[in-house]
Amino acid sequence: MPVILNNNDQFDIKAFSVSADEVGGDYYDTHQVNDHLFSVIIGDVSGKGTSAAFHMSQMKGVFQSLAQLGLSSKAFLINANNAISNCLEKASFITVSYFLINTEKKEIEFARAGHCPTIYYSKKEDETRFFTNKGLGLGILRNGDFHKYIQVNKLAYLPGDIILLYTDGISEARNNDGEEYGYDRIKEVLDANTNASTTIIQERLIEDLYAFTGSSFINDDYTTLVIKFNN
Amino acid sequence: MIHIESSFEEDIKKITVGGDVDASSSIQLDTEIKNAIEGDDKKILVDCSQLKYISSAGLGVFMSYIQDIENNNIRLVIFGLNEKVLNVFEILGLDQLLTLESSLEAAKSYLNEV
Repeated sequence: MPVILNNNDQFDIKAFSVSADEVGGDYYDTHQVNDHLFSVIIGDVSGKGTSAAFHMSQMKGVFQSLAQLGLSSKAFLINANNAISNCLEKASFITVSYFLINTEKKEIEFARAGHCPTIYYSKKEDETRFFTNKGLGLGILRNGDFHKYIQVNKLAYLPGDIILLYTDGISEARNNDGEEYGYDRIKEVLDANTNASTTIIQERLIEDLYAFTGSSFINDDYTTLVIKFNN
Repeated sequence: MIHIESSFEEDIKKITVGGDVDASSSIQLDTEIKNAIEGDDKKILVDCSQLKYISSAGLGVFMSYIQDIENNNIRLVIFGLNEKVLNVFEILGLDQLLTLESSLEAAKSYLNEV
């Protein structure tokens, strides 16, 4: 996992990630393309443990190679699908969400490849919502038709807006009754902390998750990434 | 725990999957689906009405046969997914590539379409 996350004075970014085993299949990363263009990725490899970690490191190679090219989010996913399909065994796949943040135009462009829906807080509307654009996990279609299943979202961001990313280790964590933490609880934590910093939002989410599960031991890899746009 | 059974109803191969499909039990699911596809069954009905949970490894089993289903003109339909499991298929995008039906009737009528 990266030690330093790229940003500039327009946004803060905070990540938190734990693996169930010594190594895991969750992934996040950033790349600064130029002064004002940043790419951000969060991903989750199917399965757990060593084989997931191996594919995760392949995904990191794909990201670090392609992100430098400053591709659109759709072009990034198409190329990533082609590359990673040649690396994965038949029943493996990787879900990712890919973001391009342009701090000059104050725009975000993003696409989803089968990953859990992003939660976005709009300061102006004082509302959080899920981005549920269509998508397909990487490695699922290996025959050139992948591009038909990817839908791109573009929006202008304003100061105070927040992007909350996570992996299914959080949304599918269960309590003693077998109930899942779920998307709505993640959204509720964000709703209650929209004025807080990225660090506080991340800490509150993990505290709330542990309070729900009754333990800090969750038998899965789990990751969250919080981005907040500044004044 | 996974519960898995297979049977024939006339020309339809029926696979019933119940319980939890996790990383280890997904191997059993893979064996059943592989047998059906390699056994030249052209109509495959997967009853998931008792399926409680499916992990990414289980989803990987269904995903890995998408191309074989298409290449071999096989009709495979999954029915009876509960809301939570259906949501997992939809988020990954598999609902766009596999035929999912809510009821047995709808699944059978898909298999028997001319």
